[in-house]
Amino acid sequence: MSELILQQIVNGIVLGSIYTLVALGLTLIYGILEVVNFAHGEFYMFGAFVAFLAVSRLGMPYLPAIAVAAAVSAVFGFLVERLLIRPLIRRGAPPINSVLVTVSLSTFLIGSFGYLFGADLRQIPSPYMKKVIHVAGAFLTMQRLLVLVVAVLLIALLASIVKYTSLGKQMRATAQNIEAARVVGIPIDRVFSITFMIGAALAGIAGGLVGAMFVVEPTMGLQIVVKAFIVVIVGGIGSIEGSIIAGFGLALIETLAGALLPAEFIDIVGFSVMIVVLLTKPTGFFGVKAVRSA
Amino acid sequence: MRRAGLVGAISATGLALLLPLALTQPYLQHLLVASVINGILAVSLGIVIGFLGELSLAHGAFYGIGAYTSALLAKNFGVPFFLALPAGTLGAALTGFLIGIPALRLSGHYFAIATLGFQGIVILLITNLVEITRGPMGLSGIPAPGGINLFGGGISFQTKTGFYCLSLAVLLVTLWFTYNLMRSKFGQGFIAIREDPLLAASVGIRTKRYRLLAFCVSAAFAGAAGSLYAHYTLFISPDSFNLGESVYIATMVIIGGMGTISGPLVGAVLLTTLPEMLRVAGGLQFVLYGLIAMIVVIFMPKGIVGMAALYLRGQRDARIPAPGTTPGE
Repeated sequence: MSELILQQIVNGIVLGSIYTLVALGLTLIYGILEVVNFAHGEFYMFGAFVAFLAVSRLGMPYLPAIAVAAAVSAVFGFLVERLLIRPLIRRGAPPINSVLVTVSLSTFLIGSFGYLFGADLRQIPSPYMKKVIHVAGAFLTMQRLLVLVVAVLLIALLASIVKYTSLGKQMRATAQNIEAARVVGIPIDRVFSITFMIGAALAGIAGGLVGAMFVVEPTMGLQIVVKAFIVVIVGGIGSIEGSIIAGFGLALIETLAGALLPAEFIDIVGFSVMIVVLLTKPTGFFGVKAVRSA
Repeated sequence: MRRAGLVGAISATGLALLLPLALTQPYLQHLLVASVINGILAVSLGIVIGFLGELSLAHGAFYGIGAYTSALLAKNFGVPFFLALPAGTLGAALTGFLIGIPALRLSGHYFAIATLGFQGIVILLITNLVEITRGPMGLSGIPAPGGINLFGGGISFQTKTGFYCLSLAVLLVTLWFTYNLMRSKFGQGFIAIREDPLLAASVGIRTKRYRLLAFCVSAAFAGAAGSLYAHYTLFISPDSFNLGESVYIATMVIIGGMGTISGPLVGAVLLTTLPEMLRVAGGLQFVLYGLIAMIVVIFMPKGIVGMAALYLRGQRDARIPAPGTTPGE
């Protein structure tokens, strides 16, 4: 019994790494641009497809393919911000417009990848899937260990960029007050672009990592983005620490409760917790941004 | 102006009634029915998107609740269609009320996310209450609406033409109700709240009640559309009412034109019939929808109808500005 619980905890931590990677981009983009990216799950899907194509078509090894996925996703994120988000920000359009445009982007991307690749079940071949290691009685493929290591490194990297670098300072200043940041000479447009690139790259890497464990398909982003919304809302929209804690927390609760309860029930609980947090503490447990209410 | 509008509406209705005579192929008649049902969905979601200025991602859920309420009553309790339809409408309105109370405390991104959550919960419930809804297997054997006797002659709704006339009647009620709602003090209130909630409240508009009213009306008509859909296809499953459906309906509203009543209707008819007109497009249907919707949001926030009105008669539809055309703070 205790071994089962240990196994579930290990699985939960790996799942939590994925939730956190996706949620961090979402929370960063909201915190800085005040845009909720409803197409964030499709960035994740995009990264998975790029990694898949790099391995299967170009014959690249798995790890460099993940790096390619990160780079291509970042470029894609850059284009999305430039072409879709910036015109709306320039116009000072109400928030519903960025919601509508990212929802439409999601439809567009799912449709495009569905058209190009069909609904075939495909997986990114990864050499780490075959090696299994034991950690204190729990089984773990090297792939899962890789997910955890990559996630921890990226989270640490992101946290130190935001905390210690000049770019991080500019990002924090923009998150606090866009106008004031502009007045003191921070290149807002550049900060916006870089934020979107970081968010898309993180989601793309997560997609590339998951794509080796599960299937790569056009709608794969829909399941994950819903989880990422729960994580971001509960952790506090715009908060990095909040997303990390809520990301691992949600995954652990899901895997542990999953041993006892049906999965659908846990999803209902997840949505309900998100709604309760939205209503009672809309800034989440670690958030700072105020919520405009009508 | 008013008279011209009325004449226009009557001639459009007459034309719509003549359509099944011209389009006799069963598949084309099916498209007519689908266009009308989607029209009801889009016009009702248009109340929330265009007039409250909020994106609800739970419209598919209300559609589903209407469909399941109506279908279960008719199938299990032998309730006739003409009672099941109002019951489905009421069921969806009630759910809209219950969801609206908490969700409408939020606005903008947060409202959209909250409705996404409610959409998820409703579909999970429909999928998992297998004893009642038969879950993912879907509900079959829903009775078709019985005919009625009018002036001694019987009208059957089991034919596609009959059902088309029936759903057209529901669409007309939806349009008439929405039109009058928007002309009433409530409609003007919605616009005032959308443009500036604080200012609206300060001139005595009870913002919470007004927003809840708009949301419930919108949910109610989605429920009516659900009931029609259930008694038309005679089979329903949770897949028809999922998040994708909510987004699809929102796309109709965006492309057609937010902030007008005719816009969503045009969007619905266009998106339902376009794939047939552009057979070449094949699997590209949703690619095109997504692309067009993005272009519309960025370059022409008033949608096709807004652009057409601008092109034809100057600022004819400028009475009700679309969300996004006035700069926010």
